[in-house]
Order: sequence, then structure tokens, then C-alpha cells
Amino acid sequence: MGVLETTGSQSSMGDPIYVYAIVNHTERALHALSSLAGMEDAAVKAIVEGALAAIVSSVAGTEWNDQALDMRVRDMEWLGPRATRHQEMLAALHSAAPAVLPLPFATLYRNEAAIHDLLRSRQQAWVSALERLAGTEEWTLKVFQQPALFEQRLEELSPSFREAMQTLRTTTPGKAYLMRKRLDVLRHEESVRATYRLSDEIQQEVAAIVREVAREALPANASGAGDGKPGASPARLVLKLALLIDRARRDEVDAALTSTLGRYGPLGYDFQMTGPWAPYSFATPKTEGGA
Amino acid sequence: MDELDELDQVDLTLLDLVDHVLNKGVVLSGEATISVAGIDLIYLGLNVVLASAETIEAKLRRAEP
Repeated sequence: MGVLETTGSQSSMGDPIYVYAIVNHTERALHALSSLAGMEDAAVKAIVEGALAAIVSSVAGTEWNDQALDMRVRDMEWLGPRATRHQEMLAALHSAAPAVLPLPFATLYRNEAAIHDLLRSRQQAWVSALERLAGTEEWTLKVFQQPALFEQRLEELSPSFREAMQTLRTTTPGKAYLMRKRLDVLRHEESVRATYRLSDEIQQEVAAIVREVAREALPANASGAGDGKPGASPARLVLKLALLIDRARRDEVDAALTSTLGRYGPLGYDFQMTGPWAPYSFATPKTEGGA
Repeated sequence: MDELDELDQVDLTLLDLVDHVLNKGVVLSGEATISVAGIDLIYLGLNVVLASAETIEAKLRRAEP
């Protein structure tokens, strides 16, 4: 059984087709497919059109449809192993191919003809995207702020904050309430400012050696003011950056980041890097016009 | 809450993984697609970010010399 299907052969029983990624039609990447297990352990194959190949497998329509999926993605026991399988596929493709365009989890098509149409309609855009992404990988940098440590530094660095804290310690209960409100505001403002400074510094530090940086929006509860009670609050996620780097420059980027982030540790910041990832966050060019 | 308890058991790595595969990549839509694009981690009803921060803190404390 060949791994390449260049004609629009029928999928069995109208099952949806799960699409993992788009790659160049290069022999090396596609020979790896027979050793891969797709979603629900299904066989993986390539649907080829022009210079592109969509990496796909069949999934059961009874489980993979709008209604069922809507519920199941909210169940971590269902989602966990399947999201993991999706990422395993991407990692395998990313290590075998020079460039990969990842698709999100559960990108499903009704039939192969539709996928051929898709590849035809996106041919030039995706060939360009794969050229742009060749030899790259993505890293995610998360920055956490330790409220207790940060607050200590705040008293040292900010006279208005220090003054407000001293007033709070000696004031009447009624005024204390207002003082606490004021401190919350000051704390939040200073925290936001410090985060912007850190973000700018990181981006300046790596600008010359990374391809792209994308600052990610944080979920609302992550960037809230927090209660700031010393010792009581866990670290708060304050910044999340996606970095697109040349695989060959990984060590250089690592060194530059280690140096910058090392300076921020004593100010109450902790860091976590995850990767390498296929370029999930950079698959669509920022300046691309239209849909 | 059951969902949060379940989350405490979930690996931080898995949360990062789910964050990548659910929300990122080339988002496609159209008549021929059936996809679950746009599921935000918060939309899952789980306090994911807070939990991952707590897990980080626990790991950092253990890592301290």
C-alpha cells in the first residue's frame, strides 16, 4: 500500500478526514508517514496537489462531529490523549520536513476532493509560507511574577508605594480601607509598567537573532490585579511571548535570553520556556491581506 | 470543584500542549470543514492559567538549593 494518494479516492463510509499539517511534497517527509500513528491510531497518508501535501487520517464521524466535539473538548480525559497525539504528529513531521504548516486540533474535512480544492486554492500562499518557515522552530516564553517578592521590591523602588504602606500600618480602620484600595491601584500600575519594561527588554535583546516575536494575549484571570498578600498568592502569569527562531541559532537565542532573564529574577520574576514547537503561532504571516 | 481538582493532576506540559494545538496553526473555515477552532482555554471552564502558575511555583520551590 503506497503512502501517496494523488487521485481523489473515496474515503471509507464518508468518514471525516482529519488534517494535521501541510508540507512540501518532498520525498523525505512523506516516507516517514508509514511509521506514524494518527488520531485513534489510524493510518496516516498524504493528499498531494501540486507542490503541497496535506497530512491526513480518517476519523469516525460518530465521534468527530460538531455536537460531539463541542462537549468532548471540555473533557480533559478525552482531550488530553488526543491533543497529545496531534502534537506527536506535528513533532514527527517537523523533525522530518524542512518546513511544516500546523493546523489546529480537529481540523476536519468532509472528503478528499475538498482537500484537493483547498490545496489548489492556497497553493501559492502556502508554498510561500513553507519557504518562509523552512528551518525554523517556535519557543514559548512565559513570565511569572512572584507577588510577595515583587511587593518587597516595590517598597524599595517606589516612594509613593512605600509611603502608602507606612500610612496603612498606622491609620484608622476607616482610612485603612481607602489606603488598601490605593495600594491595589499602585501595585497594579507598577506591575503593568514593569511587565512592559521586561517585554521590551527581552524583545530588544533578541531582535537581531530571532525571526519573529509575538506577544500573546493572556486570559483575563491571569493578568488581574491579584490580592498581593505577601506569602499567600502563587506566581502570576504576566507575559507570554512566542518566538520564531532558526533551528541553527537555538543556542544563541538561549544565551541571550538567559542573560536578560537572569537580571529579572531578583525583581520577583520567574520564567518558563517550552519548545521546540512546529511554528504554530507563525503559520499565518502577520501582514497577509484577506482571509 | 471537581474540574479544578482534576486540573491539579494535569501536567503543566499537557496544558502547554493543549494551548498550542487548540488555538494555533492555520485556522480554516468553510463549507467543507468541521472544526473546533477558537476554543479558548478559559472557555473550557477551567482555571487553567492559575493552576499552571501554582504548579510552577511548587516546582520552583522544590528546585531551590
